[in-house]
Amino acid sequence: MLFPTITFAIFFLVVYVANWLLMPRLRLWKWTLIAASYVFYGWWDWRLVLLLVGATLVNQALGVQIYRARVSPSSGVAAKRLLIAAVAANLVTLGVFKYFDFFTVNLNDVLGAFGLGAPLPLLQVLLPVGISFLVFRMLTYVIDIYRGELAPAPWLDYAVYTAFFPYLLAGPIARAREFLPQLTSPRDPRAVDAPRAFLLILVGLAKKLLIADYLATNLVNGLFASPQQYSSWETLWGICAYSVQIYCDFSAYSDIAIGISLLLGFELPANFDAPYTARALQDFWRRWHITLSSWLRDYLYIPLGGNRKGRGRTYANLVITFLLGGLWHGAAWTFVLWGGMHGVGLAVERARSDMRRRRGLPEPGRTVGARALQRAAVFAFVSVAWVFFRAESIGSAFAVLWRLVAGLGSIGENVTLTVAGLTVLGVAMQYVPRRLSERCEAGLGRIGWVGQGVLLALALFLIDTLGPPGAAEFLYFKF
Amino acid sequence: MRSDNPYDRSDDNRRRAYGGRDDAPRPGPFDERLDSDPFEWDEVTAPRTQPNTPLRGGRGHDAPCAAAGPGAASDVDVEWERWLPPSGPHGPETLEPAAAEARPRPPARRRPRRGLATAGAALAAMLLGFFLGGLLDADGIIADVKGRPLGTARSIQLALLRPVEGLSGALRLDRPGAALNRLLGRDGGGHHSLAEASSAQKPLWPRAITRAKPLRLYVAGDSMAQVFGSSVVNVAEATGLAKGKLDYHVSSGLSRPDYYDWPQRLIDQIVDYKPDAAVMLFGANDGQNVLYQGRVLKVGSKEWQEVYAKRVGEAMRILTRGGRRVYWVGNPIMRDFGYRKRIAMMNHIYEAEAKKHPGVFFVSTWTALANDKGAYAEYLRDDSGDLVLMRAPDGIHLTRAGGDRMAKVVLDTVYRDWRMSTVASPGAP
Repeated sequence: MLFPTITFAIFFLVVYVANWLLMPRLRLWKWTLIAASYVFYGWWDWRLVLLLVGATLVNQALGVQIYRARVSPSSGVAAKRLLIAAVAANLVTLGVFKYFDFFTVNLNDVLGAFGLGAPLPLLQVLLPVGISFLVFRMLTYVIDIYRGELAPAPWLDYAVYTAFFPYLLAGPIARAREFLPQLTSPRDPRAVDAPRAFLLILVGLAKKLLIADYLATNLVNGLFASPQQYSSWETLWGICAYSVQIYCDFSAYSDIAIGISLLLGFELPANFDAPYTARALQDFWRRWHITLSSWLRDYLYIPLGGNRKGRGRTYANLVITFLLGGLWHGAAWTFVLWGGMHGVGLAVERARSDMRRRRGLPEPGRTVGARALQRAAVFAFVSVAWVFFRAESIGSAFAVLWRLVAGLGSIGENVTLTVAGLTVLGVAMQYVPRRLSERCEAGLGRIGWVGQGVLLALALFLIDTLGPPGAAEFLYFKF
Repeated sequence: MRSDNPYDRSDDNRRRAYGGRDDAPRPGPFDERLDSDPFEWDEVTAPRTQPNTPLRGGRGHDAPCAAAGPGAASDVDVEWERWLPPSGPHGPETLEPAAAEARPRPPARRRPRRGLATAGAALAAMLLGFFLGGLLDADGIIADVKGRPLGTARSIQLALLRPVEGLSGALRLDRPGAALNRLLGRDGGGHHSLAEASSAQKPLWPRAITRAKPLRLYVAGDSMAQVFGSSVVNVAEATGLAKGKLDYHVSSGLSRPDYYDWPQRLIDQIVDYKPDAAVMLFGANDGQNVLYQGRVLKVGSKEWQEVYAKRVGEAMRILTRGGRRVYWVGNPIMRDFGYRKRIAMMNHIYEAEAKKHPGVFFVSTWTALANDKGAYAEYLRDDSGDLVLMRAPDGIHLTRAGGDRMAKVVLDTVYRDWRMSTVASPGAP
């Protein structure tokens, strides 16, 4: 079930009414949320619900056991073993569904190169949509219990946390300690943050249908499929357009997920904060997919030693974290390379910063021009890295980049005024001050439900009429 | 002020997690301020308590907690006592009486704001928005529903939408949409005629293919043609003897001209692009009931096959006007058994129709993407013997390697037909 469809609108209206009517009866309310989430997930393939149920049962059982072992006077080792078992169970699940065939094929190639053995078997199983997000949520739960930062939740609450449909497919990666407290008591039905929710949903729909899908159909898909048909000028725009497309696509999903959660009375963490205004890579990762990057920081970078074991280890930890973060996105070397580029970029940036600090030099970017250059440099680096993220193979990525120099001579006709305008808009919108959106929210709140309804109608009409027929899947579903 | 929520490790973290909607420092990882002080990292991330020490909190409580183990109940329950919703306030009258007594007072809102709505008002706004939006966009919604597979669900949806369409027309709310579509050039005008499609002065085939005058190849189809078609274009253009144009439309096909008018599209493309040859790949969405002379024909029935063959034949007739060569590609083997059977049935229709139309060649790719045993396989060995992923996770679409493999099979037929022996694969049939 895709968000921008009539099917989902009807589904959501039913869930919305049931949510607020049943909320005072907590137990029934939670069962309703679980049922709605299972219907939402099972809409793709009913077998996926079994995975959801299995993940809930196994992680909750292990979480409870870890907690018991933790508080028992003599079983610290047992808690650790249970944690290892829980982490292994989740990673094995992810590995079987997502990475098994990838690593088997590569291992087969290596063994074959040395003339060793028969080919290893492939599983060729269905990849459950959003499994990576699911596994990250499961891991935060058991690890936080082990760390003493979380108590096991009741089964019913945990089942809601596992399956809550707004973030089920593509995040934000809400942590258990952020989400579970919201299940302990009913919200005040007189205090729904509808203005903010409506604004988030409409902006999300517009970003997805009017910008991301248009750029994909009219420039990006063609460029990455047949780069030899595109001039240098078109390639340059195409690379920038993909940067805008992936932002508008993924942040749209997050916006809509946060918006519909707000309407149901839940608050989810923000996932994006104007990432293309970043003046440094470190800054970019504070603004892009915030819940993933903070997850990687807390559950990977810091356990690896973070910046506490010397400069060399810090740089290495950054690279390792981002290599694994890249691999998390998909079972392909292109994602590993993309992650590696960011890891190395962050390490280099940090080394430069350390050097400047040691020499007592001031931080760069003290003038407006210098800051603009920094922003342009970060955008350029990130956009080039996105080429590897988008391309079907490393060779294809280089074929696209090669067109930047090999396609000189003609301008081509693929960069239309609309394509160019939407690409610029996709970047420019990130420079809109936050207070403007807050004013819009406040304004929307002042006009009452009739005004809000009329505005919703106009916006939905414009988005559907101006947008392409049908909605494409969100890019991050496959991760 | 520190949060009462035990699941917030610090107020700073909480603000970070919520994207700085209050005036908190910029959220996110690899924070410079924290980075500059390794102990701050430890403070944020290291376990606050060592194993075997109780969680934060003091006195016991009898709040529910399924996870509480022997000897651990009081600690766990304290945590539950403190689990408070972050976005209160929750009026006591909304709580069940007993529960309301047991729960502590909720904290003040993070940032009290005006403009919050009641759940009922938000529902009213949504219903009004959907209703008015439906009236404004009735034509668009009905067009979308009409494009869905024929069946009971579609009929019910259309029946429900008819009154909306009528009301929209009566109130003249359909006019903004029509005006907008005219403005965007989506009003269906500007098509070429079939007569224009056959105005070539001399036969397109045979002729010598050179770098100066390359083969103009038009590749069209449904979503299967997205990867396959770009592979055909890439591989053909790499020879330097061909120029390609890919034209695919997802969810389209030949069985539902009411959804996407491929015959008209083919005429337009032939007139505008003037290809020497065309490569067609259809069928992935065609295995559905069709509407014919007001009747719904069940997919696979004898009548359905006759109507579908007629539509395929019509496309072939359009494409071969002026002596154009057409390479009609059969779909490869599919994973799902039922779907595979329908695809095989349609491949037979393409093959039979190709035999009836001079200048049309049917190219089978069924076995090109099957394993040694003739079965569906996601991974197949490439020319160098490496296992390569050929199919998308849906068991239908192709990866780039799969597209390249299919393209090679088709292009071998094309090269042979145009006597481009220098670029044909060695040993090609």
